Amino acid sequence: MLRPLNTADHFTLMMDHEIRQSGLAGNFCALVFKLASHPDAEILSSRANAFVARFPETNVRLIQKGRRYFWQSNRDRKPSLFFHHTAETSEAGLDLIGDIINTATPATAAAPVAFHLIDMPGHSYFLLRWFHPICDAKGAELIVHHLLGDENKAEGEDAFAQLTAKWGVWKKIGMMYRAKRHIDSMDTISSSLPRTTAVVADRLKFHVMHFDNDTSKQIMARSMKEAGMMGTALYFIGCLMRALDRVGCDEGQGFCVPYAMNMRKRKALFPLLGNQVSFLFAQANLQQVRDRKQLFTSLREQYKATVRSGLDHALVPLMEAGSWLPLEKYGRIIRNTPKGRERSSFWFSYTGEPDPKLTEIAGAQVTSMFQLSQVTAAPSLGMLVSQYNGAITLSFNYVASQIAPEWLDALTKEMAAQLKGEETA
Amino acid sequence: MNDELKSFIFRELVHLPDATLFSDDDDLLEAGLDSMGIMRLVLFIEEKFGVTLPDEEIEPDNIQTLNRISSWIERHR
Repeated sequence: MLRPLNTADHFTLMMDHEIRQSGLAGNFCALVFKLASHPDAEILSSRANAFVARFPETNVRLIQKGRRYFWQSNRDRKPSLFFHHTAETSEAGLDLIGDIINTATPATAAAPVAFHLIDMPGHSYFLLRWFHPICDAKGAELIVHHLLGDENKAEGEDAFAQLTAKWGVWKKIGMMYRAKRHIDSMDTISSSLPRTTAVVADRLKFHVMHFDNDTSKQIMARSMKEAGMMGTALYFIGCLMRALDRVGCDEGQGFCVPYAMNMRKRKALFPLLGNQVSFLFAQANLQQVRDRKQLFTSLREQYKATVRSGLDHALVPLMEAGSWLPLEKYGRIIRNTPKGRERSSFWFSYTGEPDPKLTEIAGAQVTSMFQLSQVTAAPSLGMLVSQYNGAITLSFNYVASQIAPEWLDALTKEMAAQLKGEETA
Repeated sequence: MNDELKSFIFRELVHLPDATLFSDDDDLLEAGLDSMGIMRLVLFIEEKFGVTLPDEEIEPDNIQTLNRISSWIERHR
């Protein structure tokens, strides 16, 4: 049985191709929960088996037919999707997480989802690694929810397909050209990129920064004050733009950041699979970035104007057209300006609190969570923001050979200062 | 007005197993209305009711419940 990839799935498959072309493992992501003790591994193993039986569409592999890609059922093969590891120290546990996210598997052989438990003295990590074409970050959260629960499966709620089914051919063509004009107008500003140190990429690394509850509250209050109720994601983006500018980037005239806009209804437990997202860009020139007030006003106005004019949805037909191109050509068009320069200054994701709330996994209390995502080189840097019990976590994902440790250290310190509204020298 | 707002919120933005049980004084932010949803809701209100809602007034006091949103709209009519 074959199931076609939706347009947004295909977009992430194109990024898989681009990541591999950069010399990295592919478009693999992870959702990592830190646990206060050791959960029952047998329970997790049996739940993983039960999950695959309840959701057989997660037991698939990617195949190509002509220019199109499909998920093909693995129903005759029941691969184990649960892996139990042990590590002697916390540091070794984090290294293992690094190995898991960097394990290269060909796209056509990659398991769409796999669960890993890493036991260390006194605590554990539970990790879901997923192949991005199968679902987005919200879908990954829902997979963990359904792994641990027994809700019946709900059918026929593909938010992405429901949206695009409303549009006729001519409307799509009009939207596509509107989106293209929007991107052309952004390309008049060349993007500043993280200062890189080498040409050949090798391995994704990560640096996780947790803020305690009091500091997180202070950051969210400042976000509300400076970026408004609608601008939480924009606050994190704007602060990273300012932090990058302060620590120094490769030459450019401003920052351009793609970010996903989820089409799922909040609190809906389905759809589990499929990337149910469109995407938007946030852009600011250097003059705006250097004036904090002007930056957040400008990002908020830009966001409002983009949604008001329907440009968030207008990018969907553009992605649809792109999905008929060979992956290499599609990738070049999406990533590069006409002058051949990388458009994205960094990758960004903000998922907020897990919903439904997750307090324990197989008997072990969850204490924090963070996310990981492979990125292309360039820009070689992604920042994934999540919250757990109100506490904010920033996960900086970067290509090891491209980003100098001292530069990253300066960046993360500056980012913390920017979030708290502290002016640094 | 509240019925139209409620219909938009629970049809387009937030999933609730039974929206009829949601009262005009229940907390929309608790129900799951997030920053992206607020943006879409404000644009829906401006288009549907022909009002302009200033950005600086987009705050919990004006958004928290259907009744508060209605009062906010009325103040700008």
